[in-house]
Parts: sequence; structure tokens; C-alpha cells
Amino acid sequence: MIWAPTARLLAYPWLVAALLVAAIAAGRPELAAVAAPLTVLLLVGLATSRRPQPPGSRISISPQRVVEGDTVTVTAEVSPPAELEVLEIGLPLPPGFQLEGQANPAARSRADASPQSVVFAVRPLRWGGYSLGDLSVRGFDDFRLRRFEMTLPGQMEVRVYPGTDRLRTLIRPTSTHVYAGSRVANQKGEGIEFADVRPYIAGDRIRSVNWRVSARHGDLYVNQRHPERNVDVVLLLDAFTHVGPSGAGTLEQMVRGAASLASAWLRERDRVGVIGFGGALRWLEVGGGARHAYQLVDALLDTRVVFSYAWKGIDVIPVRLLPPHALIVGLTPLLDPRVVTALLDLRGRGFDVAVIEVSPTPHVEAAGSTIEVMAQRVWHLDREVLRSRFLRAGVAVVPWGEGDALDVAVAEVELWRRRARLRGH
Amino acid sequence: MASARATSRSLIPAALAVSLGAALAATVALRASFDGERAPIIGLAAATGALSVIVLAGAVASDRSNAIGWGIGLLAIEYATSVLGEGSRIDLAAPLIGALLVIIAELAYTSCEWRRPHAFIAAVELRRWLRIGGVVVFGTLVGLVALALTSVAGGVPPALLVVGGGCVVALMVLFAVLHRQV
Repeated sequence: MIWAPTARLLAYPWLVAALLVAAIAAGRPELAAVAAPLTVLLLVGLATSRRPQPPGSRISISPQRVVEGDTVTVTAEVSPPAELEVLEIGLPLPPGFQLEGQANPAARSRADASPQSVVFAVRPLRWGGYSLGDLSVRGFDDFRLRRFEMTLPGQMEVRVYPGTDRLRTLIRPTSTHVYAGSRVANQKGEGIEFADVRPYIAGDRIRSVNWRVSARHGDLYVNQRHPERNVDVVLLLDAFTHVGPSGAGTLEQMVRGAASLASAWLRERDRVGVIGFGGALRWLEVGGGARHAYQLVDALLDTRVVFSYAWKGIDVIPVRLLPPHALIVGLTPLLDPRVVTALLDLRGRGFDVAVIEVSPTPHVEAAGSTIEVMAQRVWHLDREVLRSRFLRAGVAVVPWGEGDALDVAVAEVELWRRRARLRGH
Repeated sequence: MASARATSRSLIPAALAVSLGAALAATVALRASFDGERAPIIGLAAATGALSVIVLAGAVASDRSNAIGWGIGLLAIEYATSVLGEGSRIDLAAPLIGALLVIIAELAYTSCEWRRPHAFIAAVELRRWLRIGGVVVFGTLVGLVALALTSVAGGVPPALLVVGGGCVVALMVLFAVLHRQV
């Protein structure tokens, strides 16, 4: 708690003293008369000033888990101290939060003796974990000679989840898992989608008999179907580099994309895991269900760039994080060679890999001089070479620009993979 | 960061403080200039007045509330310079000068406070200014009574100077005691 003199109390006594001393020294009573109003103000102000009691408060935040752009309400019940005419109640906002409408600080007068509710509606603009709820209160005595300040503790954790795009298409993995899901497997078995017919063998169900084919061939034939299975998907996020302004760069775009992809796959009853591959390795093993969806988004919120010089390959990734036949989707700006090498190594080990290139190009400063233009052209050519390395290895690479729909990038990846399958990659 | 509304609101007391300060400085200089015998002192007073307005304007413009005291002090020095050498004639307008100095200072401090995020309740502000007004009027009357007594006494006898000195010390001690008590 701060109960400190204001600039007035630091200046007025000196002025009064100087004027009175000058009055005596010069023998001019006018100077004492000039000091009179200031002296009376000081005497009355100091005589009426009382140290206030810390105000009582109760602070609540609702909801504590929101999606970007939703509204969080901070409600505080504060009893203004009787010693202060007005209590200003302010909510310090963390970066990335925006106040909606009302004034910050809000004021409560001592005329309102009972506890007063102050409501702040704030809107988070960026995903992440935030501490919110500490209120700063401020007030003055009647003549503003002293200032009262303190912080009312009410800090709570607010988790802001990234907004997700609704994806119409998803990357279809080359192989499925053994568990039931929504994907039509390549294998033949029990399912809905028709696959083929084959001669009847003992033990086949009579309801599987294809009577038309059987009548044509004079022997019993049964229908074969594709079973519906789920897939394992691992989202590999490049946490080595971040390009662009804080809060609106490649990392934020990457996390939003990963959240959209993960929620889309989880809706399809697939199992999704996430690996934050960077200076510090973070992960969440593959899993499914609503609980896993929350865990996954929580894991994504903790994604941050940790700078490191250490060379890291896929050998640092625990084996259990990469289930056999899993589809690995890399979200990366393709700037750090460690991620590039890791993705190509995974492909080399037989994993099904696709890359969504979170394009750093919009964040690159415009070239001014001829040399800069030339350098940018070389850089773009270098990136083209990198993409062709991936394509030659059978890995789809599709750039996803800032502001572009993720759906388009995913559709492009799927299109390339379908063509590659037809080519027999 | 102050909002645009807070900044525009702070312009009102800032403009009032600077214009009142300029008016007071000009008035004091002009009043002194009617007395042709004190030309060097008048020049000094005018220069001090101009400097005080610059300091005051700079303080409110740059949100340096600590400099406001210096601006007010310079205005007081300007007045002190102008009354020096007036002989036995007593300037009865002195308490009004003191009242104006308080109002200018309060306006300037308010301007600085309103530059930062603040809560504004019109009724509370009105009550505050009424309080300040009441105190200033009372202080002006006290000053006038003191001047009247001095003029009745026909000047400032040495004994009164000693008593005055004692009063100054007592006043400062009283300030210190009140300051500690709060």
C-alpha cells in the first residue's frame, strides 16, 4: 500500500516558507499575504487528511477458458474507504487484451458506502495463458495532498484458446489404424464402402453374398468392403523460429493452424498428438476424445520459441510419440535446417509426412536496393530448391500465407498426395 | 497510456492554468511599469514573469508535475520583485495574487493528473473545486486582515518582524507535525 505525498505537498510548504521568509527579510507584508491562501489550504488539507484503510474486495473472473475474441468478465466488489472521496479502480490488462466499452479506471465515490460492483469486460485477441484479475486502486485525500495506491490481489489464470477454422477436407493418410473410426481403410473387411467381390468360402455370412454376380458366374460370390478405421496424426510444430511481429507472426499462425487441424481430426474420431520441436521439446502423445482435445489445445498454448544452437534431430523425439503408420504433418516456416532435416529423416524412415509451410514471406521487409532485390530472389530460389527436395522425397509441401484459408492449403496437400498416389509414389 | 479522451480533457485545465499564469505575469509587470522610477526592477520582474509562464507551460505540456512548483515560485518572485522598493505603500491586492497562484497551481496539477488514465465524476470534481474555492476565499480574507492590521500599524516594526519570524518557524513545525501524523 502506498500513502505518499503528491507533487502539491512537495511544493506548497517550500513556497509558503520562501514567501514568509522573504516577507520578513524584505519587510514586505504583501509577501506574507500572498502566502496566506496557500498556507490555509495546506493547514486545512493536512488537518483533514487521514490514512485510509485498505478497501475490502472480492474479485471474480468468468469464464476462465475462452476462445480468442470471446469476452471475459472481471467483476470486483470493492468497498471505497471513507477517508478518500473517490476510489479509482483500474484493471491492468496484459498485452493482447482489449477493454470493451467502459472506462478503465472506473470510479467509486465514498458516497456509495456499501460495496460497489465494478465490471470490466475484456476481449483477448491472442491465444495463450494469461494472469488477469489484479486490480490497481488509487485515490486522493480531499485536497489531493496525498495519494493512496495499492493492488487488490485477485490474480487468476485465463486460458485463451486459438480460434479454429472449420475444415471441409482433411489430409487422407496412406494407412489407417486398427481402431474403428471414420476413414475408409485401404484394407478389405467389414464396413460400408464396397471394395470388391470374391468367391464364397466357408464361414462367410450369407448376407454378404452378391446374388447377381453369383447368378452370372453360377457360383457363390460375396461382397468385400472397406472397414472404417481411424488414423494417428502427429502435428510437428517448428518451434525453432518465429518470424513477424509478436502476436501476429508465424508462430501464432502455426498454432492456430495446428488447433484447427487437431480439432478437425478429433471430430473424425482420429487420434492426434503434437510435438513442439524447438530449443525445448514439448509433446503430447496421440490420443482421442474430448478430454484429449482440451489437453491438446493446452499443450499448443504452451508452444513458444526457445532459442538454441544445439543440433537436434529426430533422435531426440521419444519413439512412443511417433506411432507406426502415423501421418506426420509438419507446420513450419521452413527456415531452420534442423526441422527440414528432421522431416526428411522421418520420411526416410517410412513415415507418411506432409508439410504445411507457414509462409514467412509476408513478414519479410520489402527490398529497397538492387542488392536486396537480388538477395531476395536468391532466397526465394533457395526455398524453391528446398520444396523440390521435399517433393522428390514424396512429401507434399504447400505454402500457407497469412490471411489465407487453411482449408485451401489442406486441399492442395491432399490434391498433391492423390496425384502422387496415382503416379505410384 | 492515456486515452485520447483523457488527453483532450486535460487540455482544459492546462490552457486555463497557462493563460491565467500569463495574465497574472503580464498584469504584475504592467502594474509595476506605471511607476517610472523602477525601470531596472520592472525589466527583471517582466523577465521572471515570462520565464514563469514558459516553465508552467512546459510543465503542463510535458506532464512534469514537479516543475509546476517552480513555475508558481517564479510567478511569486515576479510579484516580490515588483513590490520591492514601493516604500511604505502597501499593496492590498497581494492576497488576490496569492489566491490566483493557488488556483493556477491547482489547475496545472489537475491537468497533469488528467493526462494519465483517470476516473472522472463531475459531481466530485465540482465538490473539490468548491472546497478549494472556500479555502482560497478564507485565505484571501486572512491575508487582507493581516495587511489591514499592518497598514493600521503604519509599517512593520522590528518587534513584529521577530514575532513574524517566530510564526514562520511555528508554522513550519506545524506542517511537519501534521505531515507526520497523516
